[in-house]
Amino acid sequence: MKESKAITIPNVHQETLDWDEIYQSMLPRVFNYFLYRTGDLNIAQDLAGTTFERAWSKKARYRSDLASAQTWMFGIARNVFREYLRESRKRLSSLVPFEQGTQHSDGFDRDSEDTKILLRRLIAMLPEKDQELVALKYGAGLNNREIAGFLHLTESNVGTRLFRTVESLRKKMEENHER
Amino acid sequence: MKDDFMYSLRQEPEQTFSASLKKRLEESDRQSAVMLASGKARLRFGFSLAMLGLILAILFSVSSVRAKLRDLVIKIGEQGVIVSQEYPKADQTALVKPIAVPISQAAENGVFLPAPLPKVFTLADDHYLFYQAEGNEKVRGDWAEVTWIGPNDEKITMTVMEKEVMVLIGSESLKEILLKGTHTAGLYKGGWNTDTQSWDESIPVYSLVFVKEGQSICFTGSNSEDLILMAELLFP
Repeated sequence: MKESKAITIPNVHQETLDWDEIYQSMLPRVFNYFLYRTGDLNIAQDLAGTTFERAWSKKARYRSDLASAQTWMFGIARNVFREYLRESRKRLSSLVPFEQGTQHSDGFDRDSEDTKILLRRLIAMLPEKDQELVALKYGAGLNNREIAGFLHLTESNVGTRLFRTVESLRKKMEENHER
Repeated sequence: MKDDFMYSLRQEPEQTFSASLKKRLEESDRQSAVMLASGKARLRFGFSLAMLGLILAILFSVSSVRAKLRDLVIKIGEQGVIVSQEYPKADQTALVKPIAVPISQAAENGVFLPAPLPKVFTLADDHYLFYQAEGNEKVRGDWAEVTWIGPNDEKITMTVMEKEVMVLIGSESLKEILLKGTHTAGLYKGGWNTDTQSWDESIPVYSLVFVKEGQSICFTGSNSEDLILMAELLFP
């Protein structure tokens, strides 16, 4: 292909940010967001990789005065997930070798792989919006206010929905353990 | 709220994955730095292959001389389309360097933007690209390109040709549609594949072409509905 296009370098707002720091702090959160959304380790890695590559290609356009790096990254991550969902429409996924857990105070045996598998499946059966809430809260580690901004809900609405969702999951987990 | 158990699915990214991704990002940074430093051309489209095809198609749509006997010439409203099985030859292509023009000057330069645009579409840059063909006999007329970012982070590009030109494509799956129920436009999928030297309909890019007030206009993007939506905004 001989034809080529010379494009003038856009006059963009240049930021001086520590992108290494952003990478280190955001990777686990973006990865876990996808892990909660897909339940699949490999897919979560792929999608996290796509998110970072897309973000890095747009670094020059990032404006810290318009959005925090966290908001910017999760905006990209959610777009990546929407694209993935359109392509695959996956809900339940293959089993994932999650790391061994530790005993917590809420009564569930966290050492059990079965418990994790059950939880993951119950999450996958939630309505789409509740799955997103759970992934943003427990995977990405966002607070209710940040989640409200993404989902166009009020902060109290996020809190209420999360409470109901978690209680519902807890109940189902308990019922399962009693069997 | 007792929700400790909800965190039980969390885990750290594998070190090999983290290191490998970091390496890819650093490599990407290095390449970007080299390109910026050299001021060389770079394609900024997510689907560069298809866009190259589109640019070729437009550059080749110079005149009916291009149309061979075995080519099919179709009129979609006022828009001429040559359907050919022959890949455009490289020696017929042209190098045209664009200049960046502030988007605020678009209308006064004859580049009319879709309006009012839904908020989910945002301009990719604060300028548009103007390609001046003056002195280049292989290209007929100047053209401009404006790019938006769509609701799913995809790029949508509007190419406005100064004059009516014919578009060269390799697909017969060209569909005639009506914009706002009255203005005829052609919609097709794919682009010229530079690797296989042939038309490739698997390239996930749609193009919507039509003539408006003496200008050939082409919208390209991954979602045909978005293209139609934006094109219809050009017609009051």
